[in-house]
Amino acid sequence: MTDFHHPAPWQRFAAVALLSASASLVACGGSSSSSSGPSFPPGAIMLDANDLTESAKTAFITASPGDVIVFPEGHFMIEDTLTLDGVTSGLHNVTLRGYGRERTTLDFSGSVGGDGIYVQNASDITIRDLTVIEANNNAIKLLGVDGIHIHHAGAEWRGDLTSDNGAYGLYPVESSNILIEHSYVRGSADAGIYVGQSQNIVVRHNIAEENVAGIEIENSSNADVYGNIARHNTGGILIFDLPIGNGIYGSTVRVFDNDIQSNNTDNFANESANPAGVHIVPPGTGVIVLSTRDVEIYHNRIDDHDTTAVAITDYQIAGTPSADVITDGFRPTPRNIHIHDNEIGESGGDPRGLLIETIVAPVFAMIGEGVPAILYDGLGEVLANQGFSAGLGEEAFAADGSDNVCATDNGDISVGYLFDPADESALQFNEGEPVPRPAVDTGNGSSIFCTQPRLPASAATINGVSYGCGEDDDGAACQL
Amino acid sequence: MWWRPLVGNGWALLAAAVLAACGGDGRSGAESSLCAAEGEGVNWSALAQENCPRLSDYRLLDELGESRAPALGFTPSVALFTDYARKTRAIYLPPGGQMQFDDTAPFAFPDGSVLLKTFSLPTTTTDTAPHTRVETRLLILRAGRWYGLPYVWREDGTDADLRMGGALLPRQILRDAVQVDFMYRVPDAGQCALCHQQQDPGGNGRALLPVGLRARYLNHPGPAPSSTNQLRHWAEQGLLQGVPDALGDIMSVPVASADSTTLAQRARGYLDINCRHCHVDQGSGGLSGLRLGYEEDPGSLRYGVCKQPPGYDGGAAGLDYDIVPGDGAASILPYRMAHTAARDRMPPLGRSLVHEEAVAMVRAWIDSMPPVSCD
Repeated sequence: MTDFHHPAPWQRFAAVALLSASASLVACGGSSSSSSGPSFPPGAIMLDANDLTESAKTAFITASPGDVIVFPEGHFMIEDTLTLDGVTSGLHNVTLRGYGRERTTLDFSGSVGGDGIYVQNASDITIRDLTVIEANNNAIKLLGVDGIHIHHAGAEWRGDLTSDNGAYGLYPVESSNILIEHSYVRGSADAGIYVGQSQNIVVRHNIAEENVAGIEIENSSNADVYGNIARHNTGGILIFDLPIGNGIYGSTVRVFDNDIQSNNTDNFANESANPAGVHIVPPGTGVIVLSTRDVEIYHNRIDDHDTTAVAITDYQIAGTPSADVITDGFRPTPRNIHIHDNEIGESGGDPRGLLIETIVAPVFAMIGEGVPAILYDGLGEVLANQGFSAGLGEEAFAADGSDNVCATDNGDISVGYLFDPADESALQFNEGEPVPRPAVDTGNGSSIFCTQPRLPASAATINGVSYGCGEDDDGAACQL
Repeated sequence: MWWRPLVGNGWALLAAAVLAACGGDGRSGAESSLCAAEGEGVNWSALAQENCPRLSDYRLLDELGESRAPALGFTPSVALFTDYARKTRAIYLPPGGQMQFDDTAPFAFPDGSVLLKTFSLPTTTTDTAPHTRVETRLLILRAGRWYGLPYVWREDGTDADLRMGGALLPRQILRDAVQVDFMYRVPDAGQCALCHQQQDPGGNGRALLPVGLRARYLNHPGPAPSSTNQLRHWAEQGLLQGVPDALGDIMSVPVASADSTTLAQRARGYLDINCRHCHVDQGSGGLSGLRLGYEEDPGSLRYGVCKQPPGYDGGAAGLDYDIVPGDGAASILPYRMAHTAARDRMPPLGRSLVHEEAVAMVRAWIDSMPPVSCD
């Protein structure tokens, strides 16, 4: 076991001091005596710094409703995944916490397990004031949890940005009522904050930097993403729907008041055969909506992107969904997308990435244009309107405009389309592939100048308390 | 909602036994007298109520370390691989108790039932004696719910101690006369559910359930000297209710060691026992879309044929498909079996060594398929 544990001398000293205070695995907590430290409720379970893996495992396995489990201050090598599973006990209302995001670091670089912290079959789980680093797979994963509050937490891979880094940082999946705030993610080879196959989601006031995807909402519905900083990722904020085949697809996502800056990091995800895997995210992209319906992107500050500020794309640009997933409910074409009132700065100076270099940039080059700041592929819309994708469940866009992709009041930036939605002539095909008909316009003069009804706010209810705009937050962002 | 409010059960008692007492939170308590009680035969009352600190407290084993009456030994047709450990298995039914047969789900058990499995490591990968006992895992059914308890054997072999947090044990084994050092991983009690979690046939969402006590693994003669079909034998003894007259109609996984078992049957049986507990509809590997039960069509997309895995990037080799018919080396299935790093290995838990023989078998089976281009 000592092979896995290399405490710095000062840590060893601290551990010995703790050990002499209590030889048991778990001591009893109370308010911290340190004036600068956090305070803990009476009965908090204080884990043993000298044997943290086993101490934490024991506390997780024996957790009861109401438990507050406290990781000590310092940097600790953890030897295995820490699993909190309520399948037998019906676990709810448990807090896992440290002394602060920068004061408690759980290092999984020597762990035999895949994930760092893994929670399943529980409800109303809080994770706060700690950082998980160097997890083999995912840093903090929660599966099948109703009620998740992650705050002042971190998930980091601190070394070079390589495909050997773990996949997801903060990772709720197949869950509901999720609030992630005031947290920090860095270095993930997939998405730093990833919420998948979930409902009722608020992601706010986080910093995501130097990940492949900064923040990703995937196959999820009713999500508000606001007040975050997404910078120096490959792609800043991704709203994706993928043909996963489990009957859970996304809609109703709002992305607002975020600072989305300089997401120009080369893509360091592994190549994979998945046609819409994260390895296809073009470096230099601010926001991507892939196939998700009912998305509002507004009042964000989106600046300094080598490829494009906002991209709205159909899954069919990357691959053809199978009949099975269409039966399952997947639809490839994004509808009712509203991009408005964003401050969009520089973009398109060095467009790159596989789809950009092989499809997008050459098509715009045909008309003497670069990659536009707002890039709408328009492919699914024209295929649907001309009856080519009925087999994929895609009907023509509604005559009242309610399915339209709209861009309004984003300044005098370029707005372009691979397939101009204003062109109603018959689509041509070459060797079975639709022939693009690109166009680029400026600002409100574009073919997609239109508006959509505002989307409702989303809220997460945890331990009976609701969070989100109109719930615990009436701040300026919520008034936008 | 599949969780239920915590009711008075073994966990609260366990907390008292394992955690240091924290005043005022209802967890205080001395070590149980049920565990320490003297007696003859299996300590049913302790099993029903307490997570005892020593395996011997339950008196499931006799002085020689053999399973004590009324233990029922059994041999499944295929075995889950755990670092070449040899496994001894026993069922303890409480007096008068009966199991209920099901042709697909795990058998239903009466409250108080115990399933015991002891893992012993051989000195070589070819199963050379002596075998050293490493751990004993118990599944105990209390008030309709299964609880998993890991016990780690002491170095001197005198007893095994409850280790809810599991253990990482440095061990050695000889493979082709070369010593291989590895970390044997005793799963913690929270990790039981990673494999033992399934949809509850009673409709209560997810639940902890046995994996191996299904008709498909037991429909063949039991351990020597008995030559009677295990299901029939238990039915005749009145221990298993509802066994159909025609056992030949039950979907069964062929005995891996039988001469009559084909390469395809052997490979599919191996994948069933090692993978199906997650790779089944609503299993914890559900998101992958991969389904590896013996009941599946091995030529189907669900079984991985030309299937891209949504949650795996193909590893350093950059592989694209779970099974590429005719090309085992290009197939992700045996590739992940051949790795031990957390991000690549499958299964994710319970294996620190590569089961080289199984990798070769699965590759050979895929090689034997008529070649198909997946691209």
